[in-house]
Amino acid sequence: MSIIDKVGALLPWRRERREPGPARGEALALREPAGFGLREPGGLAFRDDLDRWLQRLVEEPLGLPGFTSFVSTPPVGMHETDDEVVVTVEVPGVSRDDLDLMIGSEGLVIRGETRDEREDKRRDYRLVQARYGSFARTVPLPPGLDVDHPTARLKDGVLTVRFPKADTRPGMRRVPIKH
Amino acid sequence: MGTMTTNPPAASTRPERPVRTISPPVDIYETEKTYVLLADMPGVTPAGLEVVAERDELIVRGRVERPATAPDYQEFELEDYYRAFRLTEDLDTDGISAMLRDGVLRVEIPKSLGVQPKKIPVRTE
Repeated sequence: MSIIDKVGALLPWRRERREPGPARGEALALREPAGFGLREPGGLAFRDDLDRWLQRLVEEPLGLPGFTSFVSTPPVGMHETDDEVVVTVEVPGVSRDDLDLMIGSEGLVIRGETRDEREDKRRDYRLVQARYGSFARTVPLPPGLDVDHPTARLKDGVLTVRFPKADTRPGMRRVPIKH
Repeated sequence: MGTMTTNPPAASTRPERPVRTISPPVDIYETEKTYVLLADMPGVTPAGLEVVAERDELIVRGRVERPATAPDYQEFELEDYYRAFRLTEDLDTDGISAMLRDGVLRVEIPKSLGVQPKKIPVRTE
């Protein structure tokens, strides 16, 4: 066995990084799914709210105030069904114990940390592409959601938070009509 | 010939590269006796993961379940993962082990015994 260049011992064929999502601040194509918002009275208003919310999501300053720049922001996705809004966040390498979810006036606040072996910087790294360490993300929530009853699930590195739609909009109350 | 997979492919089936895939970000580090490869593959279940070592190739593939509803907004791509690596002959492909946890694949590739450092005992007279 001859002496082999260690750097070349395990050489990735493809060095291109994973394609990043749309750049922040860049106008995102907010697609209008067929029939969206037209299913029920008031649906269109919800759609408008949702669009404004998405705009905020795109424009929102990254992470949380007070955090330094090495705090990364995990990528977020969102979709709406008839009765709920679902937020998904890619957080590979994060265990449930290292993830913190809060709902405040600013929306859903996700904070966490990857605490796997990558933290050990003394290792003899040949290639480093993944992000690790602390991360934080604030996801503004559109009005019309029942923020008191969300469900959250962490599976295979993907966090899924579901918010049921509320019967009434915040600040509004149904007025019963007497006979 | 080391072939190690959670979903064993049919014999002599060489994995084809799917049309549209994501190359997962990878960390590789070296220890005295092994190389360790860490690949971020969020959304991949153990059943959807395939790690194949064949000849001098290590191929990692992960299937991602797409939700029925199209996303209204998404900063990540929901495509299957694919990445291939070349293994030199000083690596022991029979001894490769893989583990998937929280969306991170960890592959450990032992170095062949011939290239592992050997401690030479020094005698005293």
